[in-house]
Amino acid sequence: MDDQSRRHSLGPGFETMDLKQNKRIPLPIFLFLLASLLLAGISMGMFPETFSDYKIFREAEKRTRTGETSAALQDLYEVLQEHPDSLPVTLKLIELSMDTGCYDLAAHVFNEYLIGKSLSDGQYARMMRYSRRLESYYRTCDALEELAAELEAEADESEEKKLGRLRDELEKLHEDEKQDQALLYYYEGITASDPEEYYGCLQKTYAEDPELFNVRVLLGNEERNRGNLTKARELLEAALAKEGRDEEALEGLAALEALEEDTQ
Amino acid sequence: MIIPGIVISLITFPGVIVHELAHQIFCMLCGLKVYEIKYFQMNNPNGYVIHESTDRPFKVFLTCMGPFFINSVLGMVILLPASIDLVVFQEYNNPLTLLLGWLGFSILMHAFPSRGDAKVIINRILKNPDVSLVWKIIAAPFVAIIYACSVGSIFWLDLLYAAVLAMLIPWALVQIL
Repeated sequence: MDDQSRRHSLGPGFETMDLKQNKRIPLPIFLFLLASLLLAGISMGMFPETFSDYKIFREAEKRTRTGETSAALQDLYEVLQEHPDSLPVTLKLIELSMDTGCYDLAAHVFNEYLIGKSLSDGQYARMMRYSRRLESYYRTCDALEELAAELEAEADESEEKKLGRLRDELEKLHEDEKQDQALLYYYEGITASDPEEYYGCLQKTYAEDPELFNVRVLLGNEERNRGNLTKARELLEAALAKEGRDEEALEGLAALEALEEDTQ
Repeated sequence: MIIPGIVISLITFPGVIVHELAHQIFCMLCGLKVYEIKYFQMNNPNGYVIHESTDRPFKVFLTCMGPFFINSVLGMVILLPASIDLVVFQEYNNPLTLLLGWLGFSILMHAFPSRGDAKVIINRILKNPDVSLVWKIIAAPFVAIIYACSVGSIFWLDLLYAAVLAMLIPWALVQIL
């Protein structure tokens, strides 16, 4: 076998005269290889925690639809604390919080983590919508707190009179478009003495914001009490689909099932 | 966007070094002498290995395809956590993450065997009358893929390959676990 056929060559200019030599790996290249393997080892060490954060991020939305809303948001918040500069995590947490009615968490993330980050036009528009919603919500919360403090300060007034004043003020607040109508209907409902008014306010609250507090459960129980068992089941199961450990929803559903057994 | 290949090779030079090193390691494993090796240069090709030839199809296959397996596995392992931080979480302020990202991507981007490797497979396996048909059937698609990837690299196929592999394991693990 001649020299040319004994070697894999790139052609003229690449022939080598020394066919006995067997090139070893030079020290710098060997050190480079060791450094790469070391970095590979470090990477494998980092991976479990990073992957866990990634899994939480990827599955958060699904968990809010399968009864794990509180846990999903809590886990995602912890991921955000590990990755405070991450825009995707920040945006996802705000979106999921707003979609599930966790406005306090959304506002906290807005103020502590979103400030200073660059947004695309679409992201900016979405966040501004959420910001307006939160402004409206907290404007109403502040108005209600102020009202409650005023009523509390009136030591001489009877409870009945205070309740009457509260309901009058709530009606006036409805006229202000910048107030959170769902929140106003909710408080009107839970302070109503008339059952029909209570039911009507719950329905209006649910129409405006189905995720507000426990309106789904309250409305579900009221539908059950009125004999609308199918609607009641729908609402209570929806509440459990959001939070599987919702005690009020579980009690409501248990009462519904007992009622269904009695009527069979 | 057309960026000169030499600029890309300069930025991703660790991948070139690992590519040639992989050729060398597989030559050593197959008992083939390495006569000359250039781990990186500013010419075309950016690196090369001149080694003892063989007619054993298995050794030819390993020495030619070795960089594909070594670069792919090493690149993926190095890039695993960095790809999540850089691509998913979009965090760019951790020096270690940036280093792992650059190194991992560089290595992955030089996983494709060269046309020279394809020519060796053609001469030593496909055109070799002493090699069985089974080996020719196994080797032929790889030659086609190597040439396709060589053309594809003009259109950033090597970068796309690196990006896909970077996210493949995390995505697959989420589906399984």
